[in-house]
Amino acid sequence: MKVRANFALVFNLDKCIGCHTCSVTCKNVWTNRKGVEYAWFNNVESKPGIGYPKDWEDQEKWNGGWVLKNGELELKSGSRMTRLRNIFMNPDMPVIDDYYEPFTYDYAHLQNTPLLEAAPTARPRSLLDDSRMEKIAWGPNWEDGLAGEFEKRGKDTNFNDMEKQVYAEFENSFHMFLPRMCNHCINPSCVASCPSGAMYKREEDGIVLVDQNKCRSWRMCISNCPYKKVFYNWETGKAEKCTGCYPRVESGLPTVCSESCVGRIRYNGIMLYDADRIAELASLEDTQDLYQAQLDIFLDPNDPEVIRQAREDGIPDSWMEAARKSPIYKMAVEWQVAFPLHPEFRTMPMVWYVPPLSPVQSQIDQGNLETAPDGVIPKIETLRLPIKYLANMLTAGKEEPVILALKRMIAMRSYYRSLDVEGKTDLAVLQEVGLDEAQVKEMYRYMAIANYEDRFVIPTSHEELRQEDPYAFQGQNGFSFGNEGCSISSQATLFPEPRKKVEHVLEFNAYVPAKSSNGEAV
Amino acid sequence: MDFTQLIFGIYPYIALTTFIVGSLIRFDREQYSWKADSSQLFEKKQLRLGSNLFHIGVLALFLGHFAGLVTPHTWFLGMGVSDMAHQYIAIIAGALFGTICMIGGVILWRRRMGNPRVRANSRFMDIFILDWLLITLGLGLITIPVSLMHALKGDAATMVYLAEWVQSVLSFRPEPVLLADVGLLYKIHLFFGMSVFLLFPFTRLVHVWSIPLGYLLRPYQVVRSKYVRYR
Amino acid sequence: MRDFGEGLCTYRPPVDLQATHGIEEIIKDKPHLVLNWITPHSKWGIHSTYNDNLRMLTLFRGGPGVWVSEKDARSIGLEDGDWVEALNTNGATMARVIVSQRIPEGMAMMYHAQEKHINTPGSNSYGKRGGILNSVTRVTVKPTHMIGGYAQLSYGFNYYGTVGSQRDEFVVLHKIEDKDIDWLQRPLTPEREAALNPPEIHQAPYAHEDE
Repeated sequence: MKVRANFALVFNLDKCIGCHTCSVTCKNVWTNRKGVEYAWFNNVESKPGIGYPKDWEDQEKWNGGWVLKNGELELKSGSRMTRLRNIFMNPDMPVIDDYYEPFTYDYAHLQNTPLLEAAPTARPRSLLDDSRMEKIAWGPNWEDGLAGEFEKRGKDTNFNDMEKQVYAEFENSFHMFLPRMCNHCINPSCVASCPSGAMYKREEDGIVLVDQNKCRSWRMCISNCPYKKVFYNWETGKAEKCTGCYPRVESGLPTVCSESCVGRIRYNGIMLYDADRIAELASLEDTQDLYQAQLDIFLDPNDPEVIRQAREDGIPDSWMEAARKSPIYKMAVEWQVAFPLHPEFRTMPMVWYVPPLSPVQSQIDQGNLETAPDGVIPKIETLRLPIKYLANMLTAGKEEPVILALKRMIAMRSYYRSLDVEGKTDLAVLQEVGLDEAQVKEMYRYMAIANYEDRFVIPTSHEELRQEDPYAFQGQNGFSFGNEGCSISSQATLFPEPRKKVEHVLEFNAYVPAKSSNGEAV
Repeated sequence: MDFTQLIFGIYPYIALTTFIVGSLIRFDREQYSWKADSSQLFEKKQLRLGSNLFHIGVLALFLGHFAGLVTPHTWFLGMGVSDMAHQYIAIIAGALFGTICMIGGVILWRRRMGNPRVRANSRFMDIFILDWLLITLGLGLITIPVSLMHALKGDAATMVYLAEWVQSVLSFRPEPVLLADVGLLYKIHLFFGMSVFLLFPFTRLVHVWSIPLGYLLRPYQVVRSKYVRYR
Repeated sequence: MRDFGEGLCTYRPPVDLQATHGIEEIIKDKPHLVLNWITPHSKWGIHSTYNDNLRMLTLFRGGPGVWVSEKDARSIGLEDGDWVEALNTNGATMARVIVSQRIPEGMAMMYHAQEKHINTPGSNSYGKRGGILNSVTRVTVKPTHMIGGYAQLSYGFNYYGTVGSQRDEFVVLHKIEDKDIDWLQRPLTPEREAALNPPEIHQAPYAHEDE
């Protein structure tokens, strides 16, 4: 047994309203720069839909993640040699139009254009080559709120093994939001695919990072990440990805997407796992066993044997304490209401999801749907979202765990309704789903109330273990690229760096109307 | 000092020194700029053919030049490779891989100049070095018919002179006089070729140093610790 | 206000066929739809706030959009993302069509506050800038609105404004081919100004009644 800690998250999809506050705060903090303006380390998808980048879940198309070959784990894109052979051109890599062409508008045109025949309008302009965009063809959230024909959105691979045409009807349509970020996997395929060894997993907290100085733009990580959460910065020629907001997490703060989540759906915490069992558990034959495999790799922070081994493996006591209070452990292991996203990719993702309930309240009010005896709480069979769809997304198609989780969430509501409305407790509903009263009270506290200190249990990093000589850190600049901040002038360099002067304020590109021969502005 | 002495006696050392020292400085100081700088995100179809052909061609050409020019004359004779056989091998391999490389290079050039996204995000040096490589390659291809005429006449002198000049430079006893009877076309090709080394550290070519062969031996997962006690 | 019966519907005169004649002229043989016009608040904005900055425009489709059901769209050959013009006797609005299964047949929906200073071409039928959701609506004011506490404070059947009547609107929706999009960026010359004379259709139906 080798104990390692991993920074982990749970997203409670039952409460996600799709407001994109997480995406916006993340973008403002991390990717508000040239070259990654198309990259959303955090994005929110409308499901069913093909997502961002297009069809990211379809590994037959992108060859991301792991597969079993003769019982051994191998990257789906092939052997190490295959990737070196493809180094001149990675055949699996998406191009920018699979994400979207980033754009801005001729805002200045609104202010400085001469009198026109009609009020001026700011037209879109590409941020890649400054050319006029006649029509914006795609965006990072093009399918918001089921936008687009079902025929196109229905390519969603979560519909596999389903009669999906039924759900194309207005009466049967269903909808859920899926916020996504880097999963900081236990068995990351991006790290495994990096030829130059620039990508790595941090031993202390499991956050997966790209060493910007070692990245040589071989771009294998971009296609090998099955979640398409490593991005190519076309300005700097380096891979960039979600940093898990490590400067914040090291200080005990939640990630910026979690902190800003208005629906309080995001939980941050620590999980302990056994690093010696990764290969064994990630290479189980049946993909439907992989959800259970990941539960098995987690270690119980209250187990004396684990505590002893953790001390030996250098896990600080404050981290053990945090692991015992971890909201992730409670939701994933104790109550089993959270699931990994696509465990069949065999990367062992560490961002887990509570599946959404989908009651149709107006139908219940009209008595059209079957309910529990109280007449208010719906039965799981009447939920709008097909269980199979959720199972394809969260458990490689195995429906039982998802059904149990949804039943537990319904039981929690039944219990609290009987308590609050009738003033008596209904224990039968709890017994049916294998919960006791203490557990359901805690579930309620964590999932319904979701106080800040319950959602975020993040131990600070132990910098004193790191800094041999704190004076050596004097004069170091913080988060910057290359020699910025150290050299006399960032403009003076022997070697070529920026492609051209970076427009710091992308929004306000100067507009100079070009005149064509017939005197019309273009 | 005459012109020949300057270009073929001194310039090689300027180029080689810049190549090595420049690369070292850049590796030490400018890791962040050390990269292949792929533009695949913008365009993939043309790159597939162009980049593969170009790289296969250019690697074969580099290895061929290296083997043909640096290996001492006596070794070839010792291995039973006559000068004429050597020359025919050089002509055939050079023509084959030169053509492959040229086709790839032209596709890449058309892509770089013709695709608006790639064009808009090309640095001056990106275009300059591609042009420079293609001119060098073109000059090299033009020398092939000349070499073929030499070979048909049973004359391997030019090839032997070139190889001996390269070896004289690499052994720090430059003898530009060896090139006295070598045609002007070869000399221009030599100048352009040497200049590639001079330009090397200032362009994206530095990625050549980083061929990631170590990847074949490395375990899949990379874990880094920042705590001192594990170091 | 409710004491004055403002909770009740407002009388609106029936559609004046003389006035709508112009629309028939415009759409002639073109495939078109006649749809109920619904204008809800968007999920991302409070009126114009937050909607029209680059970040939020990027997060959806980068310009004005009209939602239409899949069946309706199919019936006139509309594909998701096509330019459409929604018009009636009040005016016209230009937008990209968003085809979606969540819209029932017979209605078109356009969210609030998609301003015409962003990515809005000219209306082919009216020769003016494309317009916004309210370009095709019209308020019917009643004398009781003048008694104070009116406008945003008054009760309306389906609108917390003067009355809800302007929300009960229909539009004629038809596709505009990309090649026919006119961005109206020519300088304003006297000749151009003369050419921009409003067509017949601009005359309000109510004007005729008073004469």
